[in-house]
Amino acid sequence: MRLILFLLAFTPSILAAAGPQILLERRTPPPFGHRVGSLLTQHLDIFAPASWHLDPASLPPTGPLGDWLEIRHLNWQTRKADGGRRYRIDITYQIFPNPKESLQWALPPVTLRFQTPEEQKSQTVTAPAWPFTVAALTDITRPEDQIALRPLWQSPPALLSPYWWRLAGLGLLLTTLLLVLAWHRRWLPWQRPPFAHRWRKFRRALGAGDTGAALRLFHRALDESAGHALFAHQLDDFCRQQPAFAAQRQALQDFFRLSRRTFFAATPHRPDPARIEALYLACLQAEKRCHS
Amino acid sequence: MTSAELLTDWRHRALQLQNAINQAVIGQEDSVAKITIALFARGHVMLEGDVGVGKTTLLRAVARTLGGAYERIEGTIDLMPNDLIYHTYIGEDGKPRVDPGPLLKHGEALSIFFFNEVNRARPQVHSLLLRVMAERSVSAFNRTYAFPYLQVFADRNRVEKEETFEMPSAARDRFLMELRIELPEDPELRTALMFDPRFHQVDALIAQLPEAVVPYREIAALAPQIQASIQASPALQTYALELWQATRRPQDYGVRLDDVDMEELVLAGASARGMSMLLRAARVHAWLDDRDYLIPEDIQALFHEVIGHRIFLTPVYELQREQLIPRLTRAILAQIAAP
Repeated sequence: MRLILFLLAFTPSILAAAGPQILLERRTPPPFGHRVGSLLTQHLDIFAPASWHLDPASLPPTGPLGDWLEIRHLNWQTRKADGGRRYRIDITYQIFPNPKESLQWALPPVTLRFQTPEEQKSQTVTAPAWPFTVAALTDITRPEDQIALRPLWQSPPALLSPYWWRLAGLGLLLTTLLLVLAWHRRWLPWQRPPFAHRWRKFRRALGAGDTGAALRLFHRALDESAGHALFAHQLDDFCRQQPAFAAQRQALQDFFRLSRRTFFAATPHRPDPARIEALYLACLQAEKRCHS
Repeated sequence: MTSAELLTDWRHRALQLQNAINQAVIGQEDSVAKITIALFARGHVMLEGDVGVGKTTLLRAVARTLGGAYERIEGTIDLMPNDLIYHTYIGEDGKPRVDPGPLLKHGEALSIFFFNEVNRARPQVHSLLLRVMAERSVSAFNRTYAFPYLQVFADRNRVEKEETFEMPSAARDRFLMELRIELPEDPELRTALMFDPRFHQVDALIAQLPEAVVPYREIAALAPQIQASIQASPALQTYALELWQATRRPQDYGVRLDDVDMEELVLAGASARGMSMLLRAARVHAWLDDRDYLIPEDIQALFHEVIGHRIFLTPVYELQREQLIPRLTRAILAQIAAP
């Protein structure tokens, strides 16, 4: 049922002052059929003459209005019309108590204040309380011990497996494509050239002062570049097979001399980390030329 | 003279010995260097090579420059152990005579004993040879004869299989190294061997060499000093250990040979004695290179010659031994890194 109220509201002071006519029209839902959790919205349509405007501070705030009622939303908008201004105010309430039997309750009155621009004059208009009936959620004729809770309704499970399989297939395809691309571009860690592959570990070992480990990494990079365990007397063959390293032959000879003194000499030598790094960088450059 | 000075002096003499032998036997520098190592490591050597490549000349040159006595015996199927020890005959006066055989003829002065075609001799002869090699002594005429300066060189007939007795594994393990003697590759050297009259008269060629460049009687005392003077670092020891293990289970170290099932290839790897001999020879190599510490290259230079004959293959691969062992030792050296 739709309730429409036309109200012409005059406060005694305004009557005395013969103030302007502010018209309020209210639309409400049917006043029955509401239960716990129901949302009730009352719509207020207000016409105010020109030079009068609504004071927003007079709008009721959202939030609890007591133990049983709460304003959930309040929206308002205005527009110029008919030589004045029309306001549209929507207030949504929610009710909370679950009465054992039907009860008569009422929405509280809403009083709105209108002012002139300089706030020299003010006038209020009130939408009166609105009674409505709150019904019990359960059948009041049935004893409580005969009321069984029904399970919550759930939607029937959707058959998702085909979608999962498609998603998995797509993921596999994308992963394969990425791997092929990475392999083609030699992005995979183990595809990187030997010196570049070990560069971080080498720097870390040097940074930690472990020159022995750094030299071993250098050796392994050379071994991998040569395709076998490389020793000093095989340097000529290595430079022939890897011409990019030919320019570094002297540096490599220095490296092997340094390594021999470090690892095998009767009185071990402690190598200069800066020199080892310089030798490594020289080989790294040679390797880049080799793979470019 | 301090120990260091003594070692330096001997090193110069060893290099002189090498140079002198290389004058008489051309194109065999690598073999001469390895025989020199065997001399100072006090190890016996098995020579392999075709007929007429200069094995006898080489050994006579070694004996000459060492200054000791040289004896040679030919292995034959009817050779008996006693033939090495004594020789019996009827003298001109009609009475039986017993003369010392090749082993006893020179007594302690025997420094080089060359057993040619050793695999033609019977196992009884091998047994005697093994004792001479291991103990440098032999029992005869109710007494023991010692040969403290003896080095045995043997040659194996690799061409014929009939009427031969392959030396058992234990016997081959007693040889420090097996050395292959090849003709020089250089055409100039081959031409010289054909046309230079100097090489046609072996006796005269050997006689030209300086005698006793390295006095053979002093090597036995020097050898332990050489061994003690050369250090082996932990990194080098790790490398040698990995090489040893790789001879036993090469597949565990990523060693691969084409067309070979690596799981089925090796029956037994190098023995402890073999690795000990390898390190002994490597120390001499380092000493000749004027170093007081070992490097991997010292071991690599002798790995095949010392270890190759100590790796035993399963029967299915044993017949291909001549081709497989060099490939295997090369692959092991290529796979094991150092440090």
